[in-house]
Amino acid sequence: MIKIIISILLKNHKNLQKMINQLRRPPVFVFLIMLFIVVFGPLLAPYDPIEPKPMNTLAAPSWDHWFGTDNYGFDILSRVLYAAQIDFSLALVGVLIGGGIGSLLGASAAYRGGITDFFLLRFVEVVQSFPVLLFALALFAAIGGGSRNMVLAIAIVNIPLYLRIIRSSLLPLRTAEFVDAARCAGLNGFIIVIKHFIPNAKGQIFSLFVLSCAYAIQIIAGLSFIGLGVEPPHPEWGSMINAGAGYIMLGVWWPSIFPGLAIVISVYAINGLSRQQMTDQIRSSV
Amino acid sequence: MKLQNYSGSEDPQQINKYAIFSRLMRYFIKRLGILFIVLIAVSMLTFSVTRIAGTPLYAAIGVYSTKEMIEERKEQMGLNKPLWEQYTNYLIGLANGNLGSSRRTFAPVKDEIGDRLPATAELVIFAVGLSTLWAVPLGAIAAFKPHGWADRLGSILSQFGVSVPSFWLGLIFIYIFYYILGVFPAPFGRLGGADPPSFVTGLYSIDALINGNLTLFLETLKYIAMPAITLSFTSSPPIFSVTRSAVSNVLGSQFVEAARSYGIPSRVIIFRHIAPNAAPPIINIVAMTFGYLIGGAVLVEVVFSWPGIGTYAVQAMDFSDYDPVLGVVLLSATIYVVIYFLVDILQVLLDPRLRE
Amino acid sequence: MKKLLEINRVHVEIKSINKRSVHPLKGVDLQVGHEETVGLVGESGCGKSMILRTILRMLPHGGYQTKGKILLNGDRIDKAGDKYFETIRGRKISMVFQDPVSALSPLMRVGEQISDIYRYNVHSTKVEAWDLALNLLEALGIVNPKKVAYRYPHQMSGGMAQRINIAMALVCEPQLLLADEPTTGLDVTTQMQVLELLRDQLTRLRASLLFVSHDLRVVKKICTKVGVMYEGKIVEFGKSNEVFSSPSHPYTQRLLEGATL
Repeated sequence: MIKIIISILLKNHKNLQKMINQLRRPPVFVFLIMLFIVVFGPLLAPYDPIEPKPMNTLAAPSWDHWFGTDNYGFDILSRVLYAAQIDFSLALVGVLIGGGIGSLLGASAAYRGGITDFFLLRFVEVVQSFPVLLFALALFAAIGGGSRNMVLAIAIVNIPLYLRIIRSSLLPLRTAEFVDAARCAGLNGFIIVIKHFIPNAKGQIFSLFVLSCAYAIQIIAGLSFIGLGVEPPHPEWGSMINAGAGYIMLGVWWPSIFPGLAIVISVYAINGLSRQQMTDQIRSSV
Repeated sequence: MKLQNYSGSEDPQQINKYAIFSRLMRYFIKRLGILFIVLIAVSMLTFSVTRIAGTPLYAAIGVYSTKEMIEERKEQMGLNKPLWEQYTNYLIGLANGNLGSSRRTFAPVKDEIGDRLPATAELVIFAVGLSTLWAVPLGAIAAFKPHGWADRLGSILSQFGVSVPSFWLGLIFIYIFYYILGVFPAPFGRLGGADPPSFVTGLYSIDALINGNLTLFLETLKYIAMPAITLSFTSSPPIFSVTRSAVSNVLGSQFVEAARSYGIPSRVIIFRHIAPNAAPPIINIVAMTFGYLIGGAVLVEVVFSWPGIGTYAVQAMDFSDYDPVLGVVLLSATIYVVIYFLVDILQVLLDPRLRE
Repeated sequence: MKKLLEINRVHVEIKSINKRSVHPLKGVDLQVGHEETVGLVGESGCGKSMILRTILRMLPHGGYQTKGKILLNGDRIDKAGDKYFETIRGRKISMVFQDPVSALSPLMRVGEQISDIYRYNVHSTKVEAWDLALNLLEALGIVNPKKVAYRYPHQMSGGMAQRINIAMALVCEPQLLLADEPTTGLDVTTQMQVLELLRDQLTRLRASLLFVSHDLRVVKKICTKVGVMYEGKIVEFGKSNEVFSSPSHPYTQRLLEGATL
């Protein structure tokens, strides 16, 4: 599928036909719609997400406010749409940073072997022995909350994940001939790792990327739910759910349900895309 | 009829039981060593957090303090000593069970965690028990009949289990089962304020049974139902996947086909051939899920006001009270690593092939 | 005189969800008489192993026998009920597989695996079955049957493991033994030993053998008759020395050219 996106950029007609065929499949279609909403969300939002209307708090869903209003009078639909961008961008940046570092470290571990490998593996074990949320909690205890540190938390969580998987997929290639050939040509280790070694794990990296973005969204929502992360009144799905939590028992369901639905749909769509990609791979290799 | 002329059928390997035993012991000690290294690293991480936060000093003093008071407090808290000495003191304190004290309640963290750990443990036990009850059989059936009803049902449940945020699911359950249907009670903790049964294990359900109090037992079940179901739903997808793939692998292996060709009845094949061979990965994932959830049930605990170590950490966090947070983090990481170690040893004990 | 095994125009189809159906067997005719050793040769993928699995009704997921009849001593077994068929597997017909170690259950001691078969097919006691297993191991040339019976499959060599497999196949004294490339994974000397062992046991039990292999040498050594398979059909059949010396079908000729006999 990456090839299709790239060939669109290169204006290749044959692949354009392929792309349109791809669109016919539900997971890709849903994903693209979701992507559209995320990118153009704020333009679609009917109201300003942080413009309160104290007269109209906790209004049930109606034609004026499709998703109702919350306890400050904010329109929930608009907040959900704006929050989409915030959640996705935090997740994306965090995963890109963490994934980038993790992949590099994993490739180095696979390439070097020996002591580097041993210590990197131990490092992974140690970091992964903390349940993710508690780890983030401890991190926030040390350096405080806020969006910037949220990105840091996501990045740190992803490093061991990428390290492990990239390492295990590149390990068999350590003794491959092209590595020796590159070394004979006089290239130093760093360049070899980046230019020749890592591209072999391209497929793995991409599918891991999709999955870890979905996972990151869940983590961000969870942490915001507890109160860490994005500061109010900026909309964020997790904190919106938190704000509405107390009202659910009174029957006011809309402040919490809609943001949660957004999370479910996003994560489901992203996972659906990766599932589609996997079945594609299986079919093409048969 | 003895046929003497077959050469090469003598015993090529003298199976040396002593050699196997000593190899096992060496493996055990090696894993134990790694366990200790990891635990030390974990403690180093939490230690550095306490120092980075810079909290011990300023948390202890407050805003209105003169320079002399600060210096005096620093000396008193041992913050002037070199880092290595501070760390060793920290370790010694840990070994004695000293996890610091809460800035808010002034109670030792160890005691407060001890009070709340049974609550989390009970919740996790119920959740993992529920998950195993539905995910393992469903995964097995899905493996026997690919693309059948079990496969499709399990896959859909797994996909949703992964996509749904656990705290949101908890809220939905509260809305449906408490607000609309009134089946389960309001989410105000383990018994909603009623008196707990006399303490035996700290697990209310078991204690109620031990005390012979059936109504109290049913009450505890009603309160633990929603949080346990919520937690189970979001943590069971891996159990389903692993079960399905483990059983599927075993089903496709040659010895199962061979056993069928010898006319061994299917019931026997399932229990004596398939189950023991598929069990290790399944036991592995169930135990790891358990270890993970001790620390990972935070969100569900918060939603249902469940008085476990998760809510304890979050409450402390809200008050910038960092010792409890780190105590909880350290404890759950330790539990996870220890379970990981035990599962490893168990694998070796169960599978004779790993002993070679 | 009824043949022991008759396969009449059997077709097998494998349906799958994602791909089109495959037809591994397209009208197979084969006969095995009493106390006969019949070989089946052909390239990989021609369907020889599929015939064995069709006889024992152990086709892969989605596989069905669509046409034809399989008769054992004149009785139709392909359409027989499941309960009746349980009396056939292991007792009247049984099979030896290619990779000896992976055909054994990894977590169970081998002696127990042998005695299990006897126990569940004949409903004997544990002790009787165990003794029988030990005797059988000894008869197959295993020197320390008591010690070996307590071993696990991964603790034995390929040759010994294959003897265990043969013991398991023969413990209930079947009339027909199916063999799916049983010597392919073994080294040459062990191959010969296993073949001799098979021949002696078959003579003792007065049983027949249907031996599938792509190794023509091995087939020539042990089989009196041979059938050549190509793309799901038997293209030539006859006494092995006749077929090997003067093949009539062009495919057989090609096959023989490639082999060193």
